[in-house]
Order: sequence, then structure tokens, then C-alpha cells
Amino acid sequence: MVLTIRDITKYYGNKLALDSFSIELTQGVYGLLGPNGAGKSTLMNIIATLLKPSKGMVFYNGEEIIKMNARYRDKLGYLPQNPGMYKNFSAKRFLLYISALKGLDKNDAGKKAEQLLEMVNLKSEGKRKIGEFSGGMRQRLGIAQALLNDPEILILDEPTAGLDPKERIRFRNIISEISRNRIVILSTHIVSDIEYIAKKVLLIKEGKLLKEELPGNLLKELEGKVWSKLISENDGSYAEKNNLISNITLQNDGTYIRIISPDKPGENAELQTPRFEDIYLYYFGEESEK
Amino acid sequence: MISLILYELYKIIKQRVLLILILIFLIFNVVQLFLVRDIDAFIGMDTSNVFKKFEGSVTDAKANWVLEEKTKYDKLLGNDNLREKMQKAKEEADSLSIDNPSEMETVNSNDTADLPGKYSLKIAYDYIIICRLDYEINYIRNWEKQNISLKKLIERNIDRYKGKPEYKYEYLKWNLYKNNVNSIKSPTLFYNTGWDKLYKYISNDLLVLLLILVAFSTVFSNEYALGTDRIIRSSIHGKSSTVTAKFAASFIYALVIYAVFIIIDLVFFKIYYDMPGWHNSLQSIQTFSNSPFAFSIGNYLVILLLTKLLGLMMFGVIILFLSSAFKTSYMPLFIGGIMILIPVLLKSRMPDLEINTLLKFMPDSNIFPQSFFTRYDVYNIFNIPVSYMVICISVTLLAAIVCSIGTYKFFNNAR
Repeated sequence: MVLTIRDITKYYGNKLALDSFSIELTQGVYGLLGPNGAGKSTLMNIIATLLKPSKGMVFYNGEEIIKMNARYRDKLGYLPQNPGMYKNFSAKRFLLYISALKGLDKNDAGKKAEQLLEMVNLKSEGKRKIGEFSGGMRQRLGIAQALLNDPEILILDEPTAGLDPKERIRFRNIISEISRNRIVILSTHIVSDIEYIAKKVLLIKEGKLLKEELPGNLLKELEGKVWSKLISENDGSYAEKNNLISNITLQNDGTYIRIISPDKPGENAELQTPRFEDIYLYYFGEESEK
Repeated sequence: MISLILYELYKIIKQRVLLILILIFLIFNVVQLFLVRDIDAFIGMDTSNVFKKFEGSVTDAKANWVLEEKTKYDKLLGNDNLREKMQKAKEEADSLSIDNPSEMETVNSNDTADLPGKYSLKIAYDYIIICRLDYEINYIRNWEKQNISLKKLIERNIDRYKGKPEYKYEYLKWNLYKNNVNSIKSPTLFYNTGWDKLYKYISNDLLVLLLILVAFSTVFSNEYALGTDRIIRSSIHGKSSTVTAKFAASFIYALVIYAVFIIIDLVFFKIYYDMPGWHNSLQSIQTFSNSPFAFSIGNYLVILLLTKLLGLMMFGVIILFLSSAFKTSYMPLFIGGIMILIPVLLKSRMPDLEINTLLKFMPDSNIFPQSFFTRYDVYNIFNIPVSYMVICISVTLLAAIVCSIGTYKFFNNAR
């Protein structure tokens, strides 16, 4: 299975949201990383056929997805950002409704719904109204509905937004479990979502594909650029300099700052092992401040 | 598809606001129906039974008998003072303060030697019934005379325009009128108050319209508001099939609501008025004296109900379109309300305005369709006389078709 995104450009009026975005995706988890407004959701919506691109095309196994129409959507599972659900539906009824939308046989739908509720740890909540669910429970139900038709392409748009760390870890484990034999595109600006599970990381900035790289290689690129430095209380000038600060830690002997800089930022700076957060800051640090 | 339709129906009827409104409107409808009950029977006037004795075509024998009785009562009650007292007594009876009007409330006449003894309220009621009979007989006789005159007028106009190509439309128009008028049977005498009230009640009923407006406004816009449209539209049946299912579910809801309200109306009217004479000609009811249609009263009921239902469905399609175009349900609700309210208000309060000529063809005319059937109303469309009803229905149907197509496009391509 191959999803080919070729020269996708999208304008909202005069605003350029995606700029000649091209990539080829195969089985595995792809982490789409970028700040707010980078074009992640726009790309997701185009892949999910909810938006038409201004230019460019998307192909699945060599066939244009617009022409494939319903056949393509049959292979798609989509969890949008902040997914909406019907408060007065029970969790199971909601899954059965989505099953009907996805063309599942009635008998199969019931079994599949039960399986998925169990998988996302909502089996005991099947009869409860969605209106009573927490944010984490809704997200889990969201992933369950996305998997109903056993999709070949799974699109998850900021699936962990608003979840606590425990829920995020649970979510990550579910994604790892289901990512076999599927193309999974996970868009996020929370690096820990993809740090451990992404086969490749796609860095997107201002609508452009900045980089497509293995997570390990991205970390390698930052080797020799991440520093830890002890600063004095009086030294308040670091915010003014062109250094990216990824962390500030108050210790007994003073304040340590973690800096991303190609050059050693001072005598007492010590090299550190790069982390994924450092990648985000390195590529999007100025964008985030905006 | 059936599953999808059932889920869409579930989404509609699970709205708490709607369920509450349905309950309130049902109660309100029953209260309204109580107010249109047969007052005559309620206060003890035996109008329907008296009319039964005179049912059928108007004969000289019936007319003369009624006239004689009326003259007797006029003479008996010729005293103005007494007439006032009788009127007052009847008004008091109407205020429902009397349990058995035939035994209570007597009126003494001390003003004339021609009026012996006491007179019960029953005399007043009998007099009123005789007056109504007389009125109906006069109406039917006048109708028959006018019908003869009308036929002569039609023939004259047909002769006038016959063989003149430049007057093709006028010729066709009068010929059409002739065909209609020749099929009409004479009105029949019977107690038709129930039918008259029923038709006015059904024709002016707003409750079902409001329930359709409220429900349909949310069908698409709720999906946008909740964000569920993105999940829906990314699934295999999430585009055109979902729109079709929403249409189907909406129509089922509208049909059920309409049927429930109509059945309640018909049951109440049947209980109050018994509703005899459904086979008589529509022109037996004075509201339809000028109707060019040869319907029976019963046929007209079916046609009225179907026309109104069609009007409600077509209006519903327009509301569904608006729902697909807006992210909240307030705009479709507001625009739908304006579409009905403004023409109705303008036509009733300012009937002489020029714009009313155009507003005649707005969707509200299909929803309150009595005016389609009360007179001969045709328009020149490429030299062919086309009835007001056909034009009205066609305009709204066209709007509904365009809106249907628009709904598919809007929902499938919504951002």
C-alpha cells in the first residue's frame, strides 16, 4: 500500500496553507510534527477527502483518491481534531452508527464494536451516554470508530490534545498495537506522541515539508548542538540572545539552562544528549514564539 | 440505507427541545380543538338534528315550510324589547352558565297581547335554527341562479373569443372555466358547520409547520456544530448516502407528526360534529361558493391534506438546504420563519400592496392552500391558462429541487 501526495497546495483565500507538499507513505506510523498553523490539519483533511486541494493530487496505489471516491473512503479511518460525538448516544450506539456509515454488515458491526470497545478499554462503558465521558474516553472512542472498517489508511489529527500523560501513554500503546499493516499518519505538536512509535517523522512548517527523516537520524543531527549551562542570578541576558532555550532548571548550585546552539554558548556549557523536544525547538523554535 | 435512515430519525427525535415542543403543541392543539367544538350542541341547540330533516336538495316544499315558520317566529318575536331579552338570554347561555337551557331562563312578555304566556329559551334556539335554515336555503337558491348566470357569461365570452387567434388565451381560459363549472353539482342542504370549521382549522394550522421548521433546521447544522460531519464525510456512505438518509428521515418525521395532528383533528371534529354529508358538493359550504372544482366535500378533504403535506415537505426541503449551508441551526430557523411570516402578515394586514402579487407564490401558499380552491384563478403562461395552484406548486417544487441539489453539494463539500 502506497499513499502518494504530489505537489499538494492549498489556499484559503490569499493565505497559503500548504505549499507544494509531496511525499510517499507506506506501511507504518508517520509522525507529522509542526507548530499550530503549519498546515497539518489541512493536509489531514485533504487526505481524508474533506478538502479539495488548490493544486496537486493524492494517489492511493497509483489511483487518484478523488476518482476512487467511495472506494477510497472505504479504506480510510479518520480521527479528526476534537472529534464531535452525539451526547445522547451511548458509546456502543455511536459505534453502530459509524458502522452503518462505513457499510459494515449489521451482525459484524455489533461484534466489531464490542471488540474495539474492549481494545480501547471502554467495554464497561458501552451503554453509557457519551455526554458523560471524559475527554480521554472520548478520544479512545474516537480511535475505536476510526478502526471499525479495519482501514488501510489511518489518519489521526492531534489525537492526544487535551489528554493527561497517562491517557497519552495509553493512546500511544494503542497506536503501536494497531499500526501493523496500515499507513498511520499521526499529526501532533506533542513530541512524546511520536517519539517512540513513529517510523518516520515529517516536519512541516508554514505549509512546506521541511524534513522527512527517521527519528534516530533527527536526533543525530542535533548531536553537538545541545548544551547545558549554569547561569548566575544576575545574568538575565540569555533571553535576548539568539539561543534557543529548551529547559530551565533551578538546582541547589544555581540555574541550569538547556540551550540549542551550533556553537558552544560559553565556557561552562556542557554537551547534552539530544531529546525529541530539542528537535521541535530547533526547527520550530521561532515559529512557536510567534 | 435503512439503518442510516433509522439513525438519522433517532438523531431528530432525541432532541429534548423538540420532544418538549411536540408535547406542548399537542396539548395546545387539543385545547384549541376544545374551543372549536360545536357550541350549538354544547348549549343544547338541536341544530344538526333539525337540519337532518331537511337534508338534500332544496325543494319548494322545504323552502316554503321554512319561510312560513320563520314568518311565524318573526311575528311572535316581533317585539323589539322582547327580541333583545331573547338575545341576552342566548348570550348568557353561550357563556356556559346554564346546564339545561330548555328548562331555565324564561322571558315574560308583558308588552303585547299577541304573545301569550312565558317563552322558554328553546324558542330562541328554534328561531335561530329556522333562520339558519332559511339562510342556507337562500344561499343555495342564489347559488343556483348565479350559476346559471355564470354559465351564460362563460358562453358569451367563449363566443366572443372564438376563432380569434389574438385572443387564444382568453378563449382557452373561458373554455377551461366552462369545463370546470359544468361538472359542478348543485350545493346540498345539510348541517355543514363542522366541515367549514374543519377546513379553516386545518388550512390555518401552524403547529406542524413549526415542528418541521425546528426539527429540520438542525438536521445538517447540528453535524457542523458538533464536528461529527468530518467523521461522517470521511466514511464510505458519508456523503450522498448520508444526505439521502437525512432527507428520508426528515420526511418520515414530518409525515408522522402531520398524521398524528391530523388524526387528532379529525377525531375531535367527528366527535363534535359527526361530519355528515361528505359526499355532497364542495360548494355546499359557503366558503367555496365560487370554487371552480367539482369536488365532493370528502374528496376535497383528501386533496387539501395532500396539498398541505406536499407544501410542508417542499418547505422542509428548503429548510434542509439552509441547514446544510449554515453552521448553526439559528439561521435556518430564522430565515424559514421569515419566509412564512412576512408573506402571511403582508397578505393579511396590507392586502393591497403590489408585492403581494409576487408573495402569492411563496411557499406559505402551499402550506395554507385553501386559496387554491376557493376561486377560479388562472394566469397566462405562454398563452395557456395555468391555474394559480399549479404555478404555486411548480415554483415551490422547483425551489425544492434546486435546494435538494444544493444540499448535496453543500454537505459533500463543507469545510
